[in-house]
Formats: sequence, C-alpha cells, structure tokens
Amino acid sequence: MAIDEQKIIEAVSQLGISGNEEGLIPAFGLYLTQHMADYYNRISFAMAHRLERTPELIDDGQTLLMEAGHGCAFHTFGGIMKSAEWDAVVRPMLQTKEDWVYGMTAVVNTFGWGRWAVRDLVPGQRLVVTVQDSYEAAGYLRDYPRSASPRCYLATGGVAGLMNLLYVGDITQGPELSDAYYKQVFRSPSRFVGTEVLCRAVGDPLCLFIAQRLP
Amino acid sequence: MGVRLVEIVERVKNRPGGLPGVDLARLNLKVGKALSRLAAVMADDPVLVACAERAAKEIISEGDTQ
Amino acid sequence: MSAERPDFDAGRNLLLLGERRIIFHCHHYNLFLQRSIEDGLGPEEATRLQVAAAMESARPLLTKLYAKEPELALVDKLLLAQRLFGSLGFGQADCTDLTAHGGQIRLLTSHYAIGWLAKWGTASRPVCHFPVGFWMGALCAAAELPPERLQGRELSCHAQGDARCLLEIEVL
Ligand SMILES: [Zn+2]
Repeated sequence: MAIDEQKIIEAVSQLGISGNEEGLIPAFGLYLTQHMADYYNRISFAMAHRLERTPELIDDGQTLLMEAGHGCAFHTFGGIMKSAEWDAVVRPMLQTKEDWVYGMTAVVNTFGWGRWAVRDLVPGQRLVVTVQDSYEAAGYLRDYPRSASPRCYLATGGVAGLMNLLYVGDITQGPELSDAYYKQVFRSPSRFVGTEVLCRAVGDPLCLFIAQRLP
Repeated sequence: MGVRLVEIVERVKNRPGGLPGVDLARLNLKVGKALSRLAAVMADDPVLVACAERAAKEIISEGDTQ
Repeated sequence: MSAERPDFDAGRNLLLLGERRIIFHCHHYNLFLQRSIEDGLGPEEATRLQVAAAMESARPLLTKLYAKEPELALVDKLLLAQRLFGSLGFGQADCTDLTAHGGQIRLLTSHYAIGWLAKWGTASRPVCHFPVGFWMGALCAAAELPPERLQGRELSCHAQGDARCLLEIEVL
C-alpha cells in the first residue's frame, strides 16, 4: 500500500483551515465549520431518546441521522476527493481505486472525529472501519448511561457514503456532485448501507462499522 | 381502512426526484406515527389525515436537495 | 497559535479547544441535521433544544478560554467570542451592542442562514439557533451570569429573506 497516512495528516492539518474575513470557511465546494462535538451529540441524542419513547419511530430517527452522514460523505468526502489539495497531496500516492478509500480515511483523520482505520476492504463489496475515540460514542458515554444500541450515526452513514462514492458512483472520474448525482447514487438498488457492529457507547472497546451492498 | 393515509404515503414515496426512504422517515416523524408502515391498518381519522396532508405538502414542496 | 485555534492531537485525531472536542462538519451536514431535529421534535421544541445545546457547548469552552486571560474586560471577552465565532466558520458577528444586561448581535454573515438558503431556499422560520445559543453562552461566561437568567431569540434571519440576521439576548 502506497498510502503514507502520516504524510497526508501532516499536510492536511497544516492547511490551517479557519474562517476568512467574513467568518466563513468556503472550501471543497461547500461551507465548513469547526464545530462543537457537544452540540451535535446533545441534539442528536436528545432526539433519539425522545423517539425511543415511541418505538415505532426509532428507525425513522436513525434513518435521518444516518442520512445526514450520507450527505456529509457525498459532499465533504466527494468535494475533497475532487480538490486541488487532494491532487497535490494524496493523488500522487494513489494507484488503485482502493487506495482512494485509504487516502480519504487518512484525510478524515484530520477532522477531529477520532481515529479511523480500514480493517478490511473487499473491492466493490465491503468496507470494515474501526474508530477509536469516536466523538459520538465518547459524548454518549460521558453524558448518559451505557446505551443498549450503537450511537455513532454520522460515522455509520459516512462509511457507507464513502463506498457509494467509489463503487456505486465513481468519484475517481470527478463527477459533478449535484443533487441528481446524489439521487442516482443513493437511490441505487445496489447501494451500500452502513451498520455499526461494535460501539463504545454499548461497552465495546472501540467502534466498528461495516458497509455492504443492500441485500 | 386508511385509504386517504395510504394515498398520502404513496404521494410522498413517489414524489419526483425524492429519496423514498428518507422522505417517508420524515413523514413519519412529522406526523408522530409510522404511517409508511401502518397506514393501511390505521383509520382515516380526520385530524391525523389533516396532519399527514400538511407534512406531505411540506416534504414535497420543500424538496430534499442534497 | 492564537487562543481561538484548536490543538490537534494527530495520533488520536482529536481537536481540542477549551478542553472540548472540535470537529469539522460542512453546511450540508449541519443543515440536514437541523432539519431532521425539527422533523423529529417539531419546530418549537427543536429550536429550544438547539439553542440550549449551543449554550451548553459554548459556555464551558469559552469559560476555559477566558480563564487563560483573566485580565480581560467584558468587552474584550466578547470580542474574543466574536473572533472565535468567525474562526470556527459560523459567521461574522458584531457584538458591540452587547453588555452584561443583554443586547443585540448582528450577524453580517451566518453559516446556518447561508447554508439553509443554499440547500433549500428561503426558510419559513429563523434558522440560526446555534448562533443564538452560542452568544448566550458567551455572555454567560464573559459576565459570569447564571444561565437561567438568559433568554435569546433571533429577531430576523437572512435565511428568511432579511438582509442580516439579528439576535437578541435578554438578561432577566
Ligand atoms: Zn439567521
């Protein structure tokens, strides 16, 4: 594997991404924030807990929280993989499509989300990612009793979104990240869906995600 | 049973350019009932139908631009 | 570098500011999540939750930053919050009217309003709940007020077609 993760982390973290004179961070075709993990966790978990009082709605809440992760992957991962920064730092290391997964994971390891690592990648079929210090699980454990179910909604959607960008769509060809392209990818009957198999919020030592195609 | 509710669910599910799974989850949450799964076995209670109509209109008009 | 820059622990991928975790997210995620919370809880309760969560998040973070510079006057503390708000990408705020007794904050730009407009067009309600709570938390921390004394709201929002977002904080 030709991906030098340390080199990518160093280069990306030194971009010094920060608000401009208008207090905004336009980058990769979108607006970024350096946000507060506590904020996301409180609003996500408060909604999830409320819906847990009406069991028939639990899945619907999770669907939306994970969909937020799909959109995040599509736009942020997609925007990054089409960027000049990617071309300058990561692209020279890429030989195969699978390298793109490793390259993007290395970039994620500058977002403050906790440490992502690819444990297994079956080209076009399956991705297994572990996360240490997931901000979602860590935030859950700090503020609530041990959970009966996994809580890393963003990462679950993100892992599936990454596979969709590569193996349902094809981000390596530099497609326009339009609404129509989103629908094409995320409505595909062979799209990837994510599952969080292990989660620190339920007492596991780390969080582990699998993205695989819809059965 | 639930003739109008079923019709509303179908309308949301089939909206042009939508994401059915996401749109139906939104409908369910807005209405506070799992309409997408239960509409057929629920009665067309007028209050519920009105609420579902409002939610559907919002989802369809607001769109889901990603 | 500056007090408002998160520290990066490259080994664990943690960004820390005022002992709190900072994470990168884009407007697509922020606004989709916000709309989902509204779907799940209804607009009124979702607004209250997001304002409260923002205040809860911003207050301890800023309290830590202020503790590093105990000589700062209230106005300087609020200016630090204003710089932080901008450097984190939430927008360009003008808090010069804000005092320990409350006041208004103008947002010359707002990430949430711009993001909502870009994603879904004109909003039917104000959307800058995070900024309202952020500034309540900032005032609380800067003036050392009990949080229960503060109320906040957005009087006009760019996402609804107003030229600027205008926030108001009332100290009871
Ligand atoms: Zn606004």
